[in-house]
Parts: sequence; C-alpha cells; structure tokens
Amino acid sequence: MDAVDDVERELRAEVSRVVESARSRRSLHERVEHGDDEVTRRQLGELDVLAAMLADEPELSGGRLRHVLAAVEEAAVGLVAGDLLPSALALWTALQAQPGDGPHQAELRTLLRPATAVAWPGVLAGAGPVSCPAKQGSVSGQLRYLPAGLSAEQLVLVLPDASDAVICLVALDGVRREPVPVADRSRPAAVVELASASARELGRLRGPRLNRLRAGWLTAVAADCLGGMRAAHDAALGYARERMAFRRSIGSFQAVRHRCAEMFVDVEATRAVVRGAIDAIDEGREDALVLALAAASHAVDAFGRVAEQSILVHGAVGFTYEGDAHFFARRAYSNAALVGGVDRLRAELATA
Amino acid sequence: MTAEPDAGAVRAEAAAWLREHAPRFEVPGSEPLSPFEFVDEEAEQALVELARRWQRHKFEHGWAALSLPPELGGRGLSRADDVVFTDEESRLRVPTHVFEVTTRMVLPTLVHWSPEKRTSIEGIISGRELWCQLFSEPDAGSDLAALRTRATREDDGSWRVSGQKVWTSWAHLADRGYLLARTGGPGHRGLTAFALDMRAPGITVRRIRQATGASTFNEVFFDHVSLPADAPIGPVGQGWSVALTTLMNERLAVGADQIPYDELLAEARRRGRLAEPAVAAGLGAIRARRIVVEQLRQQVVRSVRAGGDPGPEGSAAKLYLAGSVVEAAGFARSLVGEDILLDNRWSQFAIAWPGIKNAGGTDEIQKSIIADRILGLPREPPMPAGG
Repeated sequence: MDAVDDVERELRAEVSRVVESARSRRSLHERVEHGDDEVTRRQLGELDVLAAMLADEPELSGGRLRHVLAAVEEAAVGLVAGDLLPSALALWTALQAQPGDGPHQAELRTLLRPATAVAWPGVLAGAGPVSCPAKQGSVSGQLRYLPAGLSAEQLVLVLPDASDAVICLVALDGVRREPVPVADRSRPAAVVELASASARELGRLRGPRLNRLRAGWLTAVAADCLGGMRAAHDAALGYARERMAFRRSIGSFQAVRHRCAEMFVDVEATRAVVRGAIDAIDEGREDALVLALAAASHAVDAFGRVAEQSILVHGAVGFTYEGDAHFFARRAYSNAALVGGVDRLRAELATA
Repeated sequence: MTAEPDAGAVRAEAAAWLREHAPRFEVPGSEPLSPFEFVDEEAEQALVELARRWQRHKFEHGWAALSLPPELGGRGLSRADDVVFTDEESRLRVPTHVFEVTTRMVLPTLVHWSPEKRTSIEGIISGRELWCQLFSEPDAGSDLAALRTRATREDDGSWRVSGQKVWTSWAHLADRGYLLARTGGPGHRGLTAFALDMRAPGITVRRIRQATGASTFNEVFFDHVSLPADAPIGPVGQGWSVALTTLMNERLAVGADQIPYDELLAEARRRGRLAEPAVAAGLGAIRARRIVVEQLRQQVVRSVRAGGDPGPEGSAAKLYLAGSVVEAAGFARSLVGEDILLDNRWSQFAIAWPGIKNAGGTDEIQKSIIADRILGLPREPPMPAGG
C-alpha cells in the first residue's frame, strides 16, 4: 500500500491479525455457521476500531473514511465482524451530520458498542418505506433486511425529504425484530418493525454534502467487496499450488494460471478505483460521487466474478458447502443486491 | 539534484500551461475513435507536421522532458511527473499519438543506456526526430528472443544489417529507427540494440493494410544496411536488457483515452437513446472502465514516485485496458445499429480492437508474466529447446 498513513497501516495490520487468529481456530464455514467466537469478539472489542474515528488528536481528524474502510476491507478478508460495515457507516454518517467537535462527541460514543445498524431507503436495499409522521420525533415503517439489526441498540437512518435528507438516530430497544434467514450468513440481519419508534434528528444534508454521504456508503460496500475478493483470489492461488493432477500442481497448467491472472487484474483494478473514491471523499472533491459510483459498480461486479472463478479453480470441491469458496460468492451477490444492482449504478454513472 | 516539488503543484502548473497553449495545436474535426481509424495521405502528413510543431513548442517552453536532467534539456523531475503531464495532455486534442513510441519508449531507453547520444535525445524532445521501434519479426512476436535479423561487425568497426521486421508503427514516416538485432549466438543473450537512420540505403519500408483500412504499421526490410560504429544503444550483446527497459516503459503508456466514452455518450444523446436502461447501463459500464484505468494510472504514479518502478498495477492496467476496448467496441455496435453496415468511423472502431488489444503483447503473454512474476505460481513445464 502506498501513500497510506500510519493510522491506516496500523489498523489494517491489527484487523488482519484478528482475522488470522480467527482462521487459525476455525474454518470459514464454522465461523459463518456459528458467528464470530468469543476470542474474535474480544479482540475486536479491544481494538476498538471505530473509536479511532473519534480520537481527539488533530492529525487523526476523526471521521476519515479511509481508516474506517481499511478496517471494513480487512474484516471482509475473513468474513468476520459482519456488523462492522453498518456500525462504521453509522458512525461516519453521524459525524457527517454534525461536523466539528463538540459535546455530541460523547453521545457519538454510544454508537460504538454494541453494533449500530444503518438504513437509507433508496440507497441500500431492504429499507422502507419509512416515514416520520408530522415530525413528532418518531419513525414508522418496515426494514426487511437490516444487517446487525438483531444486536444493534440504535439505528442511524437517512431519510430522503424533498431535496434534503434527514439523518436520525432511532432507538431500537423494544421494537419488533426477528432474524432473517439470509443467504450470506456471515452477515446476520433482521427484519425490523418500526412502530412510532422514538427518533432524534442528528442533522440534515443536501446537495454536495448529501452526494458525499452517499458516495461514502457506496464506497464502503466497494471496500467490503475488495476484502472479500482478495480472500477469494488468495484461496484460489493456494489451492492451485497444492492440488495435483497429471503428476503436477494444477497451478502449472496455463488455463489455471491465466484464470488466476484474470482474478489478479480484477483485484488490482478494484484496489485502484476504491482508493480513488476514498481519496475523493476524504478530500471533499466534486467528483466523489462519480468515483464512488464507478467504484461500487465495478467492485460488486468484479467480486462476483472473482468469487466465481475461485469456485471454479477449486474444482468439484468448490461446489461443496464445507469447501468455503461459495461463501465469497454469497457475500458478492448480497453486496450487489444491497446497492441495488450493477445496472442501476451504471445507469446513474452514465450521466452523473 | 533539484528538490521535488509537490505532486499536485506539477499537475496544476501543467494543466494551466496546457489550457493556454494547447488550443492552437489541437486537431480539427472530430476526435478519432481509435488510433486505427482511416486517415488519407494528405491528412496524415498534416498531422505529423502538427505533431512535430507541438513537440517543438513544448520543448521551447520547458515541458518536453520533465524527468530528464537539465543538462539533457529536462527539469530533473520524477518519472511520475512525466506521467502526470501526459495525463493532463491527453485531456486535450493535441496530436501526440504519432510521437508516443518516440517519446515514451525510445527516449527513456536512450537516456538510460546511451545518454551520450545527445543529438538524438535533443532531436526527440524538440520534435526533430520521429522514431520507429524495430523489434518484432514474422517469426518472432511473442517469442521476441527468437529474432533473426543479423548485424555483423565489419573490420572498420561499422555494422552490416540484414533481415526483416514487421508491425513497425510509423516506419513509413520515421527519421530514425531503434533496432533489435542478433550480433551473437541464439536466444536473448546474442542481441544488440542499435540506433539507425531510416533513410539509409538498403532499407525498404512496405505499408501493411490493417483490418480497419488504415495503415499505421509496416514491414521493414534490411538489405546489407551499413550502420556506423557508434550505432549500438547500450553495450554490444546487452540488447535484451536494453529491450526490457523499453518494454517496462510500456506499462506507463496505458491510457484512458483509448476508451472513447465522451464520443459514445454524445452519440447516445444524438440518437435519443440515453433513456433506454440497457444503453444507460452499457454507457455507465464503459465510463466505470475509463475511471478504473485512470485510477490504475494514479496508482502507477504513486508507485513510481515512491520507488521508481510501476508496481503490479502496471501489469493489471494493460490487460484491463484491452478488455475495456473490446467492451467499448461491442457497445458501439449495439448503439449505432444499422449504421455499422456502412464503412464509417463506427464500423472502423468496431474492428479496431485487435490493434489495441495486442499492441505491446498479447493477453496470453501478459497473463503468463503475471502468473510467473507476481503470483508466483508454479511454472509450466519447459518448452522443448528450439531454434
């Protein structure tokens, strides 16, 4: 990684260690089946990734997307911490709604633990319709697919309102919620019924600042894809090196080598465009949304392809449940659906 | 050494200078959709003249060779700044294409291996010398080290060259040639690089007609051509190392301007098809590809600035661009419908993709290089020893 600051480098290394540690204890399908174990949860808790966003040191300039998404990407490599993406978005969104230091920093700490869910009807799938009747400080509606929805105590909700968006903090204690039988079990989700749930407005955004917020959400999913596709690619490489056929490693056959090289191109291209989008957002540039649309549409498409190629490199084993390769495809397909599908993003990008 | 200015400052300065100076050198008419669009003789000559004048203009204003040391006419900046300038330049419609081999492949090679060839170096950056690169042969494309054109040393130290090259872009217009020839035994160890005068007696250039109808590359025949004793570039017998320097620079040459997104968008608008979901999604996909190529280039700039060479993203960029060109060509066909039945810039664009895809090497070779050098996968069993 070049031009990476020290905070990012350290975060990546630390989350990577947690992932390696998780892998050393259980296989991927065991982790997905049972969720993160006590050790992983404790290690992530100690890392307190999200708290780094609220640090007071000026050089950390709390709320930089690149740090948040570095952690999201590394967690996705091991398909651990399925609630990190929504929690990270929740905190970042709350910070965008109320920029600057102030007393609300302490309140934002309540978003760190346990997980916080996020929803944005029209931007992420599974949310809505949701309404704020007569501005009574409450919201009603149904969230059909809310990642982290089971464990979260609060929800950061972005609600379109004419040309603005209102960002609210919704209390989830006492709301009706049930687990959703998800395709990607590494990211548990709930269906949540909001019946006049109490909500507090954190802020309003419009125009370029609203575009920037959406750019951040799209890029977050892209970063998640990048982590997952790195893992799928590495798994394929590992298998190609070890698996023997015709008395030699299958990685020595040109067709397999070339498949691995194609995956490499997908990963590097994604790495570059996600980096570009993150830079544009953190620098507050005008082209941030365009870059985010490019990053997200590219990433969800490339992740699907890399996951599929990885399954193929694994031969028949790639089609077994315990073979693990399919979990990356499940994450990839889920991410694509979460952002509303590749075609919709591309159609917007065409003229954005 | 000069202190390195802030990267953003170079880009901003370049952009400002280009905005002011480039317009009078811009090519009239619509932008070609690919480098292989048909152009008639007269138009081609005019283009070359304009290209020389633009190069000269950059030279006179200190923008011709940012990374060369001042004593060679440059500003002593980083290679990354060359890339940054090229990026900014590619946003404008100035005629650089015919000089790309000269400035992006030959120049860095001469500077690295034969800085004493100052007349040529100055000739290149001032627009006086247009070069062609004489590498591939009919029996030596992917397997370049099998090349057979032979250069024999005479008693007086001069050289005699006989053989044939193919796919040589711009040979029909070039003043000078960068030749890779065999001076020793077989394989990559017996090669030497040479600089030569394309007007020397014994050189015959024959145009090759491309699938689009254009003719930008050639066969070049050498019939006992005499080269002076100081013709070699780099040491005799080190031709393969010299060639590798050149090929490395190719990774910096991948550009987003090969994907004509703006033209496709304009065409979709003109035809009133933007509202169609498939068209909008297809366009967006191509725009995303263009943005990815730009970002890969940014990554290359960062790597070059940090450590001198492009990182793995350089290898990925060429393959990614090749795939993008194919997709853009397919989209163009679906966009223009029946108009593809006629010979026009769209039908030429539709058939131009092999030229861009294979230029500088096939996908297959590129993937094998990635598999070997970047992914560290086990090698394919060795080929049986050949000629």
